[in-house]
This record gives sequence, C-alpha cells and structure tokens, in this order.
Amino acid sequence: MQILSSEWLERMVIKSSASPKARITNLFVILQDWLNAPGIRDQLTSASPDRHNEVDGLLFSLVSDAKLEEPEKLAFQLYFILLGAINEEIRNPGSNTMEHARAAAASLVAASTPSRIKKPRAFAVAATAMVGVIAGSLLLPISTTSKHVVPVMQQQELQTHNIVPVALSPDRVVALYRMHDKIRTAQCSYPQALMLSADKRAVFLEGVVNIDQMKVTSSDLDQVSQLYQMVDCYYPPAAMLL
Amino acid sequence: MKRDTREHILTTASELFRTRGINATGVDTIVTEAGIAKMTLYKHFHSKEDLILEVLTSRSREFYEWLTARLNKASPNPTQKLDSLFDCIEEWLENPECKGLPFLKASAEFPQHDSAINQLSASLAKEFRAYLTTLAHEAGAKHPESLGQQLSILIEGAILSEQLNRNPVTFGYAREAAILLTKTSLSK
Repeated sequence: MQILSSEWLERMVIKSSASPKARITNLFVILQDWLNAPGIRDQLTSASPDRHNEVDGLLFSLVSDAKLEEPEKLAFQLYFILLGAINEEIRNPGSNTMEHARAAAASLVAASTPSRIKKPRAFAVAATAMVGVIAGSLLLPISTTSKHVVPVMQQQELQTHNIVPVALSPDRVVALYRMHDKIRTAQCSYPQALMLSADKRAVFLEGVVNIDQMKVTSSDLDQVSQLYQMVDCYYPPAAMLL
Repeated sequence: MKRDTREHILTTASELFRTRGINATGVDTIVTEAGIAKMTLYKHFHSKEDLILEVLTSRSREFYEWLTARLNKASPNPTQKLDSLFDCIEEWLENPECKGLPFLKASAEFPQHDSAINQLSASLAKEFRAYLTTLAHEAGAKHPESLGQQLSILIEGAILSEQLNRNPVTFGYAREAAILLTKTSLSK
C-alpha cells in the first residue's frame, strides 16, 4: 500500500497529536478521510501489500515512539488490520470498516502499553488517547473533598455518587452525571473527540473526564453538556480498564 | 451424467483459477484440462463469467461447510470456537487444495466495481463478516458486529500479507491479535 509510505500521511499523523499513542489510532481516522476524499476511491482497485516490507516505516515508527511492548508484533498486527480494512472499504464503501479497525487498534495498543503507564493519571492519559482518558476517569473515585465546584444533585443521585451539595442547577448536573455513568457502562457514542480544539479539550478534561474534580463554572456547563453529547463509547471493554 | 459433467467442469475450472489465476485461464485451457468440447462447457455455463461466478459461490459454500464442521469439532463451546478460529483458517490455507478465501483473489483480479464478479466478491466478503458476527454473537460478545468486522479484516489482512511474505511468525501475530480482540469483546 503506497499510501503507508507517503510523506503526506506521515505529516498528517504527526500533526494530528503530540501523543505517540494517539497518533496510532488517529492514523485510521486520517485514512478514512483520505478514502472519502473526492476521486480517491475511483483510483483504488484494491490495497495490496508491497514487495518491500511496509511494516518498517510509518507503523513501526509510530509504535516505537509510543514505547509500546513488542513493537514489531504490534506493527504487524496494525498492518494486517489496515490492509484488511482498506480492502473492505474499497469493496463495500460506507461499511464503517475503518472505525472498527480503529477500535481494534485501540485494543491492541492498550494491551501493548507497559504496566507502569497503565496507572490512572487522568491528565497524562488524556494527552495520549481519549479512549484511555475516559477509561482512566472510571477508576477515579468521586471526590467529596474537591476544593472547587462540586455539583448539587437530586437526593437519590446524590446518595449514589456521594457528592456534597453546593450551588449549581441540580437538574443540569444530574444530567451530566447520568451521562458520565452511561459512559462508564459503554453505552454512549464517541466520535472525533481527539480532534477537539485546545480550549474545548480543557473543558472536556475537567467537565467530562474528571467530573469528580470538576472545576468548571456554571457558564461552562453548556459546553460540557455539548461535549458529553459528542462522546461515543464504542470501543472494547478492555480499554475502559486502563 | 449431466450433473457429473457440470461438477467436473467446476472442479477443473476451480483448480485452474486457483493455480494460474482467473484472468490467466482461458476457456480453451479449461476444456482441454477437463477433456470436453467447448460446446459442452457452454451447455452448462452461458459464459466464462457465469462459470467464474459459479466457482466462487461453490468454493465459498465448501469453505463455510468445512469451517463450520472444523469449528464444531474443535469445541462445542462458542467462546472456544472463536479462539480456535484462526487455527482453523490457517489449516484451511495450508491445505494445498484450498488456498485462500475465494472472494479475496476474485476481487483483486476484477477490481471494476461494475463487474458482476467484483460485486459477488463484495457480497461474499459481507457473508464472511456475517458468519464471524454470528460466531461472536453465540459466544456472547458485547458488540458482535464490531468483533465480526474486526476479525474479518484481521484475517483478510493477514492472508494477503502472508501470501506475499510467507512468514509463519507474522501469521502467529495475527492469531494473537484475534485472540486478544475476542477476549476484549467478551470481557464484562
């Protein structure tokens, strides 16, 4: 697949994130966009492995930069998934194959992450992969001692989440916590959060990922609510355990 | 007799397509190898394209029958069936008479989207995915369609790569990936 050797692709992948791990899954998003670009599908008849070893090069480089375990094995696994996904996309356009491939890649990356990195560090994980970010937040206890704004909730939700009441609209905050619980049980939708702008990302990290340590003000709640709507937990359960 | 002749033509054509390629195998070669007259071939199949479509459909059916029997033999447990899927696929590939998934070669040789053969290949690929999705569903996968899709693209990519590079180590990598994706999908 010549595309894997292209400088354009490498540039786009590097530009997509500062996080080496995120770049791996971003690769699939970029390739989906590439396939959807006008005229591309007409030029493609199939994706064939090249005579040269295509695993060396971009894939191995991404895996090595991310300091993942058994990089050669992982690079090959990602290569197989990419090769199969592109061929299926060519055969059956609109089959959403690349998204499934991205999810598979995320699982493989998660499994290849060395143990010492797996401890939940919300901001560090959030910087690398949104999937890992959301999963990491699940392990954080709901804090009752936050120095910042702690939401008011209706009595029964309050008991569930063990939250000390303060002053914010209860209905809105209850809705947020319901969304958070839905994320935890992987019932939500989650597209393109990786592509958030820097200012939205900060609100997302505080209001969505670290809801128990939420520092956002009531004026940010609208934005937090909108960001929650973007969340799609369509990824394998193992990633939730990071 | 008529049915035997039809089967004979299908078997001969299938073997020639497998070893020489579909486009590289002309009707003259098929009839020569089969030991029949061209007229006999056209009595059973209106065109070479019809023959190709029939061969693909027939080989796909054989593949699923073999795979189903093989998986059932491996274990009645749906989860263990999924775990043994890759081993079974590898066994199929290693059989010198089988070699490859029928739709893969055909879609490579007939890339034009308006080709009936290409369209059948696309349909057979969907069928393969549906088969894997059913296995995933029986095993209790949380998102069987997703796992079915992931396994099908992994298998296809591994086969395409292995056909070129012939490296048993890398095929083992694909097997490990399949087991991991299955385990991930089945975990609560």
